[in-house]
Amino acid sequence: MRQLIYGLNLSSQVVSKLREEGITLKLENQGSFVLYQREGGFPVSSVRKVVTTTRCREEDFLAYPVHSTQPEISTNLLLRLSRPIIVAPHSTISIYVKVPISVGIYLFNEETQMLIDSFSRHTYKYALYGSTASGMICRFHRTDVYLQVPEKELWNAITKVIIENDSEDYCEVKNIVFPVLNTMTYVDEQGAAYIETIRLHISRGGLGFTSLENAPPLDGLKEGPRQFGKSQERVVKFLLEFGF
Amino acid sequence: MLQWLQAHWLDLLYAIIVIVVALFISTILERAAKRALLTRVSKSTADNVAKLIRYSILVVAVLIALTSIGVDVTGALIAGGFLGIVIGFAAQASISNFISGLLLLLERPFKIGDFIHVGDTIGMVVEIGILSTTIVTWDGVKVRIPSSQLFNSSFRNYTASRARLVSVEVQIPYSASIEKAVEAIESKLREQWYVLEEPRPMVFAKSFGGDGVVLEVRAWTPGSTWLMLYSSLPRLVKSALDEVGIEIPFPQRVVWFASPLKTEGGAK
Repeated sequence: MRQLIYGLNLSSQVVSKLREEGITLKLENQGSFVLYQREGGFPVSSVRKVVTTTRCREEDFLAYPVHSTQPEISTNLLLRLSRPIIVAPHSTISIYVKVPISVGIYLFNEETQMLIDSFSRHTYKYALYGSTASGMICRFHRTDVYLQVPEKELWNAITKVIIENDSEDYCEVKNIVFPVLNTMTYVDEQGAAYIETIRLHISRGGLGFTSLENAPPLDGLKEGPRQFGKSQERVVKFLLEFGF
Repeated sequence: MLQWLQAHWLDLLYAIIVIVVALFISTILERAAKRALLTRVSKSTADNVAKLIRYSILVVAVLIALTSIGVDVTGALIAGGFLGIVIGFAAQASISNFISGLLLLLERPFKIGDFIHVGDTIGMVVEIGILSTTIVTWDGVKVRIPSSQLFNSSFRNYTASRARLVSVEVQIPYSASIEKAVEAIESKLREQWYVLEEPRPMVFAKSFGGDGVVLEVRAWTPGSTWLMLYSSLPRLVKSALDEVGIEIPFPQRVVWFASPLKTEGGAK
């Protein structure tokens, strides 16, 4: 039995799960059209779209995790660890964290796919990473730190962060920043969302870099649709110039 | 003529090669410049700069070709120089705009879509040309600003700021709890997606006013959502105070009449 909704088509189970969250989804067959309707959610609270059904069926509407940020505001995610981690010199640790995620409704056929809607129950919050003169705006999220895979949630994806301290000193890590829009998403058999493993490398000089590992945080996960274009350059390394 | 051709055919060939090579190189450079500039400046500016590069190469090539076949270009150069001086005086403003435009293209202090404030004009940049920049003001009016004015005066670029502070002052009655008001306003601001979580919104008692305690409300927002916060901050503050039952005080006046006021019902 699936507990969550990711990777499923818009069945009554998905619709009722979302209704519990205060979001109403409706697909209405109107001959050669399907009317897609949503009430509730963020950033847009009401959506109505007409889809021609010449080459699609109602079963082709699927829910997949999408990154919970408005690209015009920021494409980076700042994760604030509720309990900072102190990492010993020349050591590597792995932790699990929760990353905010939204529901994306995709329209699939054999050849192509299209994201027709995305929403969350929660409003997105942003923060300035760095100084007001030269910092950058990031999607902001507070997360606990888990040593085991945490409980699955609808509005949070799970990811693994490998922290590698190559420096001669102890390092305290409380912020992890990375280009979230470039990360791969995954789903498991229970319908939970995951994003690819992140590596935080602290160099000998004490500089922090995050990089995308291009690998799922757990084995046996199914890849979600890519949210970055094929021709788009995938930024995989990010300098944490304002500290970690 | 035939004799001249027999004596100078090699020079003529050289001149033709120079022109052909210049045509080839100038076309390639024109395209390359256009491609390189298109992502940074408007299409028209990219076209202008690319054409300028092309014609400069062609003019030099023609001069080299003419010299190689024995044409004395000194006179043409002197005439050209003199003409240049005359044109220079006549088109001083245009040349100043042209050079300023080139320098602005190098400096790139704003891009298309940015909101800038020049002199008394505030608006969105819609076109960056070499001679001028066009902005559209809040009320939809297109304004052309000469490049020299932009280059020689200070201007504000509102969009370039990553985060912007918006502040407003509000008074609460002396009888109201400052802590309660501060908490209500801060909480209301934190609920808004466009108010940054960090730096956190800040509310503090600033001074004692004529009608109550003056609170200063400060909140940060991404540069692109500045107008959203600017236009909603007073409403959010009032709504937060209304929710906790704190009325914003307003000046009250007691009016005394020199003689008793007669009303219709006869009441005094």
